[in-house]
Amino acid sequence: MRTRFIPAVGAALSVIMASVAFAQTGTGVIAGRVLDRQSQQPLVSAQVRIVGTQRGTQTDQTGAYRITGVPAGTISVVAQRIGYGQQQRTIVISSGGTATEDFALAISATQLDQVVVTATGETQRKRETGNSTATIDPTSLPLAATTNFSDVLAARAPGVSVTTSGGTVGGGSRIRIRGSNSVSLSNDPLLIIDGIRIDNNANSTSIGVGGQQPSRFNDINPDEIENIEIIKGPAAAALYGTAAANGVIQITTKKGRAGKTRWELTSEAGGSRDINTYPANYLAFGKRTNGTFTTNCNIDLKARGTCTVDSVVTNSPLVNSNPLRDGNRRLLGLSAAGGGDAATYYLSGEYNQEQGVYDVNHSRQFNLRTNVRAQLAKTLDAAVSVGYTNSDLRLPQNDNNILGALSSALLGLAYDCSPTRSYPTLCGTDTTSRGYISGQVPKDVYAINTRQQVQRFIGSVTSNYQPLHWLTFTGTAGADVNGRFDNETVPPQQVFFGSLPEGSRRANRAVISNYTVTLNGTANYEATPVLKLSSSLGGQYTDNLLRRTDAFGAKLLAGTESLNGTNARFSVGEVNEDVKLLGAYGREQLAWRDRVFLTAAVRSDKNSAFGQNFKNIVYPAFSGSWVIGEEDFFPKKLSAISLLRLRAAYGVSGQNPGFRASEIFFNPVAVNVGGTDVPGFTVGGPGNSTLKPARSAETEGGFDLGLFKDRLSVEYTAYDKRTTDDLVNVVLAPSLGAGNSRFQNLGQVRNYGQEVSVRANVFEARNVKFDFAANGSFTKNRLDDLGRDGQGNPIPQIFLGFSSTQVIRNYLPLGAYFVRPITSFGDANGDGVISRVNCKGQPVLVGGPACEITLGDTAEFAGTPFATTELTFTPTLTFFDNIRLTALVDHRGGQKLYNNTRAFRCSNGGFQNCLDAADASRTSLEDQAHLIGALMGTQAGYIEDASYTKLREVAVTVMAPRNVASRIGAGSASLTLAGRNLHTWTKYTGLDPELNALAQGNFATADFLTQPNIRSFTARLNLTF
Amino acid sequence: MNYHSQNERAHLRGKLSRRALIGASALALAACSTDLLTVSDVDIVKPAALAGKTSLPNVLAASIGDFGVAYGGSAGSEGLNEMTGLLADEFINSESFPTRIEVDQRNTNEINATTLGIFRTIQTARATTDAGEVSFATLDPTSRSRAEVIALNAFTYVLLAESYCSGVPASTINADGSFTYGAPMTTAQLLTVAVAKFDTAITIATSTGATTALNLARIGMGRALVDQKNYAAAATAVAAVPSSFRYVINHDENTARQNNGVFSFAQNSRRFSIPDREGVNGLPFRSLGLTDGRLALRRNSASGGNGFDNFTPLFVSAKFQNRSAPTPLAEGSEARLIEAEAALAANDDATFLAKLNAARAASPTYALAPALAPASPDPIGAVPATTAGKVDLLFQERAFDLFLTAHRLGDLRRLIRQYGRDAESVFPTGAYFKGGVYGADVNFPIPFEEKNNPSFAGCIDRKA
Repeated sequence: MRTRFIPAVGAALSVIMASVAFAQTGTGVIAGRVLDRQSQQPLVSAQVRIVGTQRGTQTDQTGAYRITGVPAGTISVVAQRIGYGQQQRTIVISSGGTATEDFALAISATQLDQVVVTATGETQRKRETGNSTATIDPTSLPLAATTNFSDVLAARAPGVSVTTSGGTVGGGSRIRIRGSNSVSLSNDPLLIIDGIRIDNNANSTSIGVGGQQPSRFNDINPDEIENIEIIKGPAAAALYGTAAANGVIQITTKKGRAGKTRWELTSEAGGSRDINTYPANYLAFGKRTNGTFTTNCNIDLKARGTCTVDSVVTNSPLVNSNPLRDGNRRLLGLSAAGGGDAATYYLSGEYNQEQGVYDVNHSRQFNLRTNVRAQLAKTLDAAVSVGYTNSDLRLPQNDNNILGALSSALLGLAYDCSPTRSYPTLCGTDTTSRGYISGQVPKDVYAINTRQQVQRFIGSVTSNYQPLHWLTFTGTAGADVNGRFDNETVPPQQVFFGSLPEGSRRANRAVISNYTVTLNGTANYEATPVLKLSSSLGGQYTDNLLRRTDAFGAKLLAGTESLNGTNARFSVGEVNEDVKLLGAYGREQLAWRDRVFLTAAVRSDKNSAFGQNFKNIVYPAFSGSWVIGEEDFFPKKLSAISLLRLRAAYGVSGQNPGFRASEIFFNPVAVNVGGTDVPGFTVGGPGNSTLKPARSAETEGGFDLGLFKDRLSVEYTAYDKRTTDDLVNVVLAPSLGAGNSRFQNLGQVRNYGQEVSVRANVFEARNVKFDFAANGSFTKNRLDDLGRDGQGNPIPQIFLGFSSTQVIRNYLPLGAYFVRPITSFGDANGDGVISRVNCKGQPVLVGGPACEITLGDTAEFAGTPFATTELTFTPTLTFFDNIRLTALVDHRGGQKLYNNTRAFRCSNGGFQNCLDAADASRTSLEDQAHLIGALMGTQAGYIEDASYTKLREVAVTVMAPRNVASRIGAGSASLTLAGRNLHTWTKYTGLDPELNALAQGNFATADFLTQPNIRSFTARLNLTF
Repeated sequence: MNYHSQNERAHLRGKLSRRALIGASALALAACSTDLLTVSDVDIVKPAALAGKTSLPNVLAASIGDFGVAYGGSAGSEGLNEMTGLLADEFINSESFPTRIEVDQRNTNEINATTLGIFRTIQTARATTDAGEVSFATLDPTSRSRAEVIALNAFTYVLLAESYCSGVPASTINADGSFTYGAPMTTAQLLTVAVAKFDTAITIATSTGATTALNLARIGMGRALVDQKNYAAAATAVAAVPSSFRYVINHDENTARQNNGVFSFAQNSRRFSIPDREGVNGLPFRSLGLTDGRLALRRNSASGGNGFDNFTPLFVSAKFQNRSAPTPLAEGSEARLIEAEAALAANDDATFLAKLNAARAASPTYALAPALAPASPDPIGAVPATTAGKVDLLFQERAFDLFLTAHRLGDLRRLIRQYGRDAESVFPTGAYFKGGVYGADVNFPIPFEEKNNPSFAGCIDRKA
């Protein structure tokens, strides 16, 4: 595949760079402090930077800052911090001198002058962009209330939906930004750390345990993060290129600050507990009409006259042999930050371990980070960012897995087969199961040791070269190299199911690498005193590689945990995938009087995954921002409005198909021919050489409003995002015998909605301060068209999820629940039982009641698995500047969840062990109707309203007065006590409305024997020296 | 616009060497860009690599392999052998998966992931053997393997005809990646295609001296002709097949794909159990199979002797006692049974009895217990007096001799179609042992996903 535009980019860059000349002047230093204007307390982590450059730093614990190597002359310096208004000063720097400048920032709810990192690697004030970009500052969050990176993201920014898949330690979360763009491609956002793309696989494992899967998002240590920016969609992400259509999560890690070394010690300890009350198992014992004994005279069979109930028995395996325990969490971290005039550094190391509520669910993670920034020359700096993660996760069997603790218990027996068993005939030789369906208690199954060990290196080098005051070059190169080792040992003669008694070992080693190189040149110039122009030109190259080798052996020698100990059924396999991208872009920005900003940009990408017939794609972007509130004509004295900005943006981004999607190929297989294994092949992929990227175009508009002297800010955005040429993995007619599916550019998907963010400093007195942040997002997702085949026929709907309860279908949300409804039910004969006898197509019972339940003839839309309304409320109450009480209340509304735990227990022919099935006298008519409806063929009754409001976090932070901290030799000390998952308000009848037994998949969503979220409490101590 | 001051311009002039260096770097970047998007793909094989004569052994292996998975199943996917047995009376469900319970209960929805899987694998086998036939015809028409591939291809049509509703399409992916969609074929049309293909296979096998393929094709021809109710022609077709002939799908422990499907799903993961008189009409497999070496049944010893659902007694057959146990596709005993049926149709009781006993003598048997030798059934002393009794005897003999070889469903359908019996006197019926009642299925529906074929709207009919 040849490229034609790289020479053009290279030539353009060379022309710009060839015009470089050094401004040979001396340098000086700026130093000072940043304080809260009212309290005169130091502001920690305030940003101080030189306007128009990449140079800057953050304040330390005492509010002090220091920037070295500043070119002599007159410069503008700006200080800012989230929650405060910015201050900008003009300072004269003398060669070899130190200029002192202190700032006193006033509280402000607006964030207009907050700095964000752009796709070109430069920084910009929010006022300059026409997009809504969310910013999360983890240093301002009660991290004690979070256990991983996903928790840090959850419920912090409007339009960013983070849903945990369960309460398993190490399980992931489904992250969606402004809905789902694609029917078949990943809808996970792009993840960038310090300028390089990193592995964002939300389902990252090669060994299944039934449902829960680790997410690579959670390799990121929140304590290392200085700032998270969320670029929500193509309107803002166009310059990030192909793969950015789902939005971008851009992380900047902590940097050092000039000054003496500042040590920070973090220690955390806490516990967790499963607070759920699990249902017991029930069976109605009785007699059939021929007098024989039956263990299952459920309400349906009884109503049909096939049996009579003698007794209802009950048993709870989870009580008989409780597999649950209290979990715990430990964390210890140490960091050092400092530096001198030539270089600054940030070093950190953190170890954390978490024990889940099963013995076999625990994780250990060790993170190291070294960030160094050096002023290599007067006009050249370089920053090296190196992160290392070493983790070891052990996952339990659960969810859709008969060996799982919950699945085996909740699908288990309604009688106990312990040695003192009450039902010896039924139990046969079983004396150990205690009612668990697997025939063994979970503590025996715990012998299965499923682990994922990760050694991940994320490193980048970023260099800024500013040969002229108007010209800056930025280059970033880096790699994310993830060595993932999935392995599982089943010791022999310990787990008695299928082949497991033989014992086995599985060892799958993968190296997942992402390489990024980005080059950018930006020229800033003043056309007139009121008109500034900024031109950028750049290119990017990325390479995503997967190299995996899988190995398996059975008949394990007891005492070994290695393939060396296996003796049969050896299996090996390889996975080698490689997707490369090459892009070039240009951007032009016009700034008029620092109030009106117009930006136009374009990016062109080539990608190795496109079909042979496709050359490149162009992504345009335009945005406008007008700070109208600063215009002279804007009424100020008579208005409560202290700030008003209007903004609008349009942009296009894309998604590339997966590796090999465009190729026709066969898979090699072994075949036994005449008693000898020989190489054969079988169907692989049908390929599609015409593939091109899915294309998402987004228009957004909104305003930023400051009221009452910026004590109240409102940020409002409306957006409309349309994906065309969506890459649909079209199900192939089986009669082709050519594979299951093939990607085609067919679909049209629309996401539209509104986002509101409100921040308010409600009350501020000498010793008490109350403020809050509230976010709301209202998201609509719809498949406009699934497309048509070559003959012009509509592509049929695609079913997915457990029991095919979900669908991809025109005019419905992606993954909508779609089932035949229960149109009516009633107890016609007054016997307290809903019966299906004498209903259409159901058993006939002469003398039985008239039909008591009716179903719709065809399936109908029954709801979306994704919340359409998300509201969060984060109040903060501060006393004496030393005690801060925060909470996070999180509401999700409009979504449904398939309660397959209840459906399966109640209606599956193999079990029917729920109370609903066993005892009509203790079951509402509605619940009976749901069960009978399932027996008639619809799961409608089990697709439940899963709206909820959760008290997600509560945290109290006590900051020791400086004199108290100094008594222990610390510069500062704080203690945070936090709780997570404290209460849930919901109508959902299952254990937790926030579950997914299908992990972080695109759409398939169900509660199926999944470990619910657990409640945790943590204490966190922070000391600085 | 004034971008540069005069001083800066002076610096520019003084930095020619830097300009050259940067320019060279940019050029180097441009030059290497040719290869920047090149990726290698080493895990798979592309069609061009299989286009030569030297690849024909791999083509043969592909045909046998895909047919084996579709027919005999594997560790990860059920074959038609298991699933037709589940729909008929050879298996009952002893686990929890609704998609397989639907099949056992004769109430399969067209949206059913399990039946979608088996339809895909048999269609894949058909397409692979179709393509294999073309490869051999083009590259080495005198190869002895050619007839074997054609015979396997013909068997896919027989299996489609015996297992599915009327209206099965056969579509094709073309070399350029485009599709040619097939129109639905009636059951009769499928059988006509099969007969023609077996005929071709017999001709080629005869001319190339491929004895095994010849006998395979003869039995296939006989089976298809019986399905067409052409008993005499069927008997003629199989007459020359030795009773000792045996063509099996070889399974293997080597890879999960090669594992025996019956062992994997019944004995290993305990999902299917062999029943006794399933749904009133089923045969007494358990009762008789405990002493008949053709079935060689026993109660599974693991997990309290029950299935995956922990309550259905699990009975398994020694015929499929490990992962590498072969699945018979065509055996000499079937030839004798075909001859017996022709004799029955001709009211020739003596030949009927002789052929049944010849089949019994030829039928492979298995040990009733691990320590015992295979137990052969005794010869049948006399045939029943009534025609119905003789039919019952024939079909029980077929059921036992051809146990779990994907014959039983076709036989139950033939009892309805050819012998005038009512479906509810042939298939399991009445109350289903896991709740509910049996449905009315006598075959599998074509999965919903086939509606991606614009020529297909649904089954033509669901009759036997």
